[in-house]
Amino acid sequence: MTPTDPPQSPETPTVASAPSPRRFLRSPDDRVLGGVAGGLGRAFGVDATIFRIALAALVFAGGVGLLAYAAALLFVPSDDGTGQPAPRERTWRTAAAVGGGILMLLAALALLGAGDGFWAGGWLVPAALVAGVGYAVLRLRGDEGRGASRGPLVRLLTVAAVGLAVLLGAGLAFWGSAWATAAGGGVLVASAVLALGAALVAAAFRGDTRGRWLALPALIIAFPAAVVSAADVSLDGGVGDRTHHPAGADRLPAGYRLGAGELVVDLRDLDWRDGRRVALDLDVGVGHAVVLVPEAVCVGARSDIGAGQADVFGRGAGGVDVDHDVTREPAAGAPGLTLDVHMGMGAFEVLHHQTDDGRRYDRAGDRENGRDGDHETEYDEGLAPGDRRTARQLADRACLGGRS
Amino acid sequence: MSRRPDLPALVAGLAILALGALLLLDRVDALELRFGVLAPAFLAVCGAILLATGLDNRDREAAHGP
Repeated sequence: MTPTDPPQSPETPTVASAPSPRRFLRSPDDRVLGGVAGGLGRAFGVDATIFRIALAALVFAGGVGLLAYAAALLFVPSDDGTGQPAPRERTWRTAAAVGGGILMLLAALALLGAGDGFWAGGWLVPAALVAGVGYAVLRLRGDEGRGASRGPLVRLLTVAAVGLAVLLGAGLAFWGSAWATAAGGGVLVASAVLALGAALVAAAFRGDTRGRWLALPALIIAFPAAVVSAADVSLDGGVGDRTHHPAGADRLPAGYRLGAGELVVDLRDLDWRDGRRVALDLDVGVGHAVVLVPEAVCVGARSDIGAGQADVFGRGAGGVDVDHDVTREPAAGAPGLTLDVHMGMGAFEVLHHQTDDGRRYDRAGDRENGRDGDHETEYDEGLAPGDRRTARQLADRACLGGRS
Repeated sequence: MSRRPDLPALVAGLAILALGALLLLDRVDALELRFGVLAPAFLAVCGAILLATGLDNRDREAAHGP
């Protein structure tokens, strides 16, 4: 105790100084990638896993999690182990590696067209490009300021090249797994996943922490294979666009099959006289199936779709594991069509009308009213001006209990 | 002295083995994998890996200090 210290009586408890809030620094030891979640957990005194889960969830919120993580990598220094920021050079080097990888990932996803649904709004790609250019400028200026002898551009390009190579490898594994599973090699893909899992367990018992990285390729392979399996996508039946146009009193096959593409079955010129009843199976892996029928035919359909939607004259369902049943009985003397549709991923429709090129469907109501989504679509084929009826009304006329 | 297995790798390995077994059973028609099963299964695998990693980091920090 120095002479200037105030005297303390034993009865008077010492006022404990409140712990100063810890500065947010990226953790050097509690890290999965760059120690951002570990640093946040330490700064707020909570389990870093909570921040990891939150950041992972934010990745799916328009990619906000990725941007936030990249920003933290760039602007938050790393902890040097004593609670103080690490020297800048080390921070920049880490940021170069991880930031470069993230930017390459964003660019590749944008090029692959994943931006429509996943990167909501489309603002992320320009933002990522601006961030990339800004980062490069900052990086170059920082290196000049320190009089770095090695070329920063060379290092940046190296990081970009490695990131691109990793990304390409991951992309190849992802799409290769999906293709192999759909083409009948699912057992092989499942065996590869099992082998990687077994290797992980073996690495765990060896105490080799580097083995953890095997989880990444395992998940990259397993995810597309699982999606293809759940959707029950099969490339049997070929790939491409097919149009079948049986006419007259032709004998119809039991069904039509297509692996991937658009399948159009035009039954409008079939001989439907004398109340003909037709049963047809459709099996499509991935794509679009359209059945065109005359207005006088009553259509019933049972659709089993892994992911997508079924629409039978406005009666339909969409989503995943779609099992939709429209059971209709033809009115007395009316022709009837019963469809049994199995589809992995895609859309199935039954329509009355098709344009001359055979690929576009004239939805007058959509064009005129600018509507889309879940509504009854109006068709103008065969109707006098002003006599606008919905496709469902037209279809119902041919079925038992239907109204005109 | 027996070495303690690496928890994150062990959990990830077992979870991926389970996922691979699901895939294999679906492919040999022993069960029918649906999205209603697949989505929670995948979330459980990712969650288990994250949880094991977080717990391991916490234990390591407790053993060696922050």
